[in-house]
Amino acid sequence: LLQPALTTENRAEWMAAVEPDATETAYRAIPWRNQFWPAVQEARELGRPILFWT
Amino acid sequence: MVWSDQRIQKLAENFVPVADEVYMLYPEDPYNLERVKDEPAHQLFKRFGESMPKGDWNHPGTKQGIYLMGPDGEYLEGRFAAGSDPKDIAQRIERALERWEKLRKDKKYANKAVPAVGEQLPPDVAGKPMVLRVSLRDLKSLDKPSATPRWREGAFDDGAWAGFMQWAWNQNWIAFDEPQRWIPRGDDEHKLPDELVRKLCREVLVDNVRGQAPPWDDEQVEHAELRVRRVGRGTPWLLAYSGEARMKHGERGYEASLLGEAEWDPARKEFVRFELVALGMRRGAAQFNQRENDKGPKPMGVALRLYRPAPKSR
Repeated sequence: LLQPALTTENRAEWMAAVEPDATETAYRAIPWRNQFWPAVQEARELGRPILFWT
Repeated sequence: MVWSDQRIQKLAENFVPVADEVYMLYPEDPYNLERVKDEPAHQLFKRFGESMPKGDWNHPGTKQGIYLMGPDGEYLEGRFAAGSDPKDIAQRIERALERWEKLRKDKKYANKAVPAVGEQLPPDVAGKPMVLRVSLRDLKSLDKPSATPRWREGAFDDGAWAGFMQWAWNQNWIAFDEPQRWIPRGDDEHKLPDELVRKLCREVLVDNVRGQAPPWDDEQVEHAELRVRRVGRGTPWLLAYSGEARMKHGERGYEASLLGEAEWDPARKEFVRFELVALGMRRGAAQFNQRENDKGPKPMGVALRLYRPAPKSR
């Protein structure tokens, strides 16, 4: 198995192939907080419910 | 995927949405459970779970799932191990909102608008001068970038692990304190400082595409070299990177070629663009990275890109 050389010509194409595209990252449209306890405190200040994905 | 569903995204606007790791919030092992038992976050989550209907809360066992609660942990909806069926999740969120309407009136919650926030970075990289977003995934081959399988609605069985394995990708982060150590010292190509390259290898050239895997120990990095040179004389400086890496521990390993390109602003002493891609063969399995039946060697790619905060969208 060890493969064509990774070249300056195909580097950008490989970068795009490895990175997720817009469809795969659509979940980022939700403004996720990334720590549970600070989010609880924010919800208390706002008087809002919490959606928790864990 | 559940969170890509536009109906769910609209419903989610009614909540403070948070994603976090579950294990240290509600550990499954007695040692760690004892350690966190008095922490308010654990106590709130435990109280919430114990108020859930039987069958929706998993105890003993994993607490992975999707949960909807009031500001003081009041039960609204949720289920452990939920997450693959958008229709089920949308119905649960709608039921949660019905219960919320009653709860907020009973408890006189303010129900203020949830403010927009930009993407939140992990605490260990937030605020650092050079933050790279790391994306990694399995590849079909090392000679055809377009063959990379990608998730599309209806293309895979989203309720089955085998479906996930066909398109799995993951995201990590890495940060460096001194961006200027990534630029060339003169006109000739030269090797970057060993410790920078080894840190990169240890922390992110790791096979956690499907599940968790430990970073490499330094002695498991058998070879790590990255060279940099300036291309042309323009400003910002155009920089080219190339290198190789080989990590090995028992049967587990990853051997890759690296190639990158970046733009450095010498006046501001910061990168305006930084891209680096690693392609190579992964092999073996870690305890939790879900490779026990797929030990390879098989191709895997890792892409690192300078993180730039996006404009707020909400």
